[in-house]
Amino acid sequence: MKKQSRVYRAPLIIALSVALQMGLNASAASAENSSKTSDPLAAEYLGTRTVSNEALEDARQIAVNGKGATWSCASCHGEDGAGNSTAPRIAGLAPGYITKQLHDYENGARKNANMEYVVQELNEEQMLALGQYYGALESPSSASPDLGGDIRRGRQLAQQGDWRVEVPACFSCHGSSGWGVSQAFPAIAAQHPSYTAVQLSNWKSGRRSNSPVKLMHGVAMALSDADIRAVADYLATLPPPQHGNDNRAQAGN
Amino acid sequence: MNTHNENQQKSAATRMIYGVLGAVVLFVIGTLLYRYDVLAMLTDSYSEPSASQLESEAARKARQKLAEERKQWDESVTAKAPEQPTGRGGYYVPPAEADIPDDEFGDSVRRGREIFLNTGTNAGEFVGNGLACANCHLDSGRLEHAAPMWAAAVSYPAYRGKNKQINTMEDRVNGCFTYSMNAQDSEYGSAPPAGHQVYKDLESYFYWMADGLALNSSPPGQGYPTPPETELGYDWQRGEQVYADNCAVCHATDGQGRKDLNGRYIFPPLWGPHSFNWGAGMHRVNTAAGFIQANMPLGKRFSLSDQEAWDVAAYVMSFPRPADPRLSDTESVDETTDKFHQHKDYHGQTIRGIKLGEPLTEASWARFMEQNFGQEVR
Ligand code: HEC
Ligand code: HEC
Ligand code: HEC
Ligand code: HEC
Repeated sequence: MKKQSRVYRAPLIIALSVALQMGLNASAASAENSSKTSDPLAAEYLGTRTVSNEALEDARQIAVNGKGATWSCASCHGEDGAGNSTAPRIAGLAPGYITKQLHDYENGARKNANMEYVVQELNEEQMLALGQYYGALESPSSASPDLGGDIRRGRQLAQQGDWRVEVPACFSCHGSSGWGVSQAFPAIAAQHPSYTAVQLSNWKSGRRSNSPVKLMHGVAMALSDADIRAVADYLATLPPPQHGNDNRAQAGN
Repeated sequence: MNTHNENQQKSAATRMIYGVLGAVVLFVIGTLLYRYDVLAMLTDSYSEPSASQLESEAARKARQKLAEERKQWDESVTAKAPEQPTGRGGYYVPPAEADIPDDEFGDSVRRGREIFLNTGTNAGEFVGNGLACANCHLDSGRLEHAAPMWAAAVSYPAYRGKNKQINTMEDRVNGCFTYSMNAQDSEYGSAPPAGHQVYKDLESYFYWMADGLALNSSPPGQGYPTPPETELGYDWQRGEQVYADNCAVCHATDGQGRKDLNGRYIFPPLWGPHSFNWGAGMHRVNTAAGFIQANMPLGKRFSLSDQEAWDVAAYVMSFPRPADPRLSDTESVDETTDKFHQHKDYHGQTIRGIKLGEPLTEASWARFMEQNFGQEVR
């Protein structure tokens, strides 16, 4: 019952945050944080930060139940963080990557009305702790191909790339199973296709501009809409990352 | 009466002409609509062929043209000789992977390809580091300016200054195992012995890939390009910042690369005991500068300036790596330097307190890493 009412509040929140975004935008906050985000090793640094057990427990509370005015992450990303057709899977992403994304919504390198609203309510330690909480969460996939993409073409892009248009294999950066590498290269396997497709389009249009060394920019620019649907659908057929519950092992390789 | 009749006839004829003209116009419009997908455009289901579709169509046509010209050549002595199939940028178009034949030769080609891609798994007993052939010869050995194997296949046997004799392809690949794959530290202890199946499979793969290229044709895109020398020359200290900005996210601050959750190197190590050794082609600053400018950062080819490419290559080559296999018990590092390292490299120099070229021990390496990278996030 409680959760239900939260879900109904979502449209309101969205409307509110759009208005807020119009009001604030760019200005002070983004300038302050941008130097940090543009450091190619930002995610690696964040991945080495530790937090107290209380902070971790606090993060679990925020994730599952929300806290004060803060919206529970679960109400959008699903109880186990596996996502759905409107919010992405965040379970099993590297902690440093997650925290960096939260920073990026805060400083404008990534734009999304919902998340920009959500991060306003979070302090630095909570962002770090939420990264660790979701990083350690192993949840089964809830994604399946639904964009009508050509799965064979998608597999080819993921495993071999298409060098005729300068696209290296997705897996040559995102790991041999698409489970990510260290902190900066996120898992892309088992992600919901609509989300994957939107992100790739956002890089093409410049709406998302936060990849280290602009690595995703060139990749996305070279993909046609059909390619985007193909690879997004293919990735949704894969199992999610399995890291034996120790996400930090990724950092030390 | 008469005029009326005439008028009637005239108007019948005019109507007929108008009718026919109208039909023709409608036909032309219809054809145009169909030809240019106008309806699809109006209904939003139209999509321009993407660059990759155009490229792969061009590649397919180039291979098809070769097949046709070969057929004519076989049938008539006066036919024009078949031409090399070329595609994007005028580079040779190798056959598609799907065209590997389904026979014994094809099996050997596929095995060769697997060795090339996953050398440590498929020829592991001869590999003494964490690398694979495809780490330096990108896109499975197909990419121009990444020393592609199709260009190599038509260039051997050849005379090589490195050992001052005619080298076969087997000799060349033997060299790659010895230096680039650091075979001295492998289970077997050296490159595969002469005539080993590993050579045969790799050669099948290269031979298949070069089908359509003329022998000794020095095709464009062979080897790595060398950037022009710059006024400032190269400087490893200047290269450190280039490395931090462009390379560390993948190869790590300490150059040791990164593995994925499956324990596989996704970003290979650039120096230290798991990388290539002193004497590998890549340890020369000029060769590395060319490789790096033409292939790195991955996905951003040719984005570094000449100066950046030289400096970052120098930085990477200024670190310790496995010893030159030609360094013997009876010869000092300095003697090896004099004999084999009279080119652009750092063998024999002392940098960061370590004499480069000295064999690494576990202890000396661990100490070096602690001193230089102990405090840093990798
Ligand atoms: C109102 C719904 C909503 C709530 C509540 C919400 N999210 Fe999100 N979240 C989204 C949407 C939608 C996206 C995709 C945004 C985009 O396209 O950039 C997203 C994206 C993200 C991303 C980026 C994922 C990636 O793969 O890059 C992270 C990390 C994230 N959310 C974490 C959280 C955390 C932690 C919380 C709780 C504190 C939370 N979210 C609460 C809707 C929500
Ligand atoms: C050259 C390296 C590289 C290659 C190749 C590459 N990526 Fe990425 N990708 C990255 C990096 C780095 C990020 C993290 C960006 C950030 O920090 O926000 C990323 C992020 C992404 C994201 C966002 C994930 C999320 O949860 O929001 C998607 C989706 C993605 N990549 C898809 C792909 C696909 C599909 C391909 C192949 C067509 C591909 N990538 C190839 C480097 C690469
Ligand atoms: C550390 C990087 C590296 C690795 C790993 C590597 N090579 Fe090379 N390879 C080179 C360099 C450098 C050259 C010289 C290219 C030049 O001088 O233009 C070369 C040249 C070659 C050539 C001759 C190319 C030509 O056009 O003449 C062949 C054949 C070759 N390599 C095969 C292999 C094989 C097979 C393997 C795996 C067993 C391998 N290489 C592994 C760096 C590497
Ligand atoms: C997006 C990740 C990425 C970035 C950034 C990157 N590399 Fe690489 N690098 C790779 C990968 C992956 C390979 C292996 C290529 C393959 O297997 O397809 C490689 C191979 C190499 C190699 C040959 C193999 C070896 O281990 O010696 C060298 C040298 C190299 N890179 C140097 C650099 C330098 C210098 C930079 C910065 C200018 C750089 N790289 C930036 C991913 C990257």
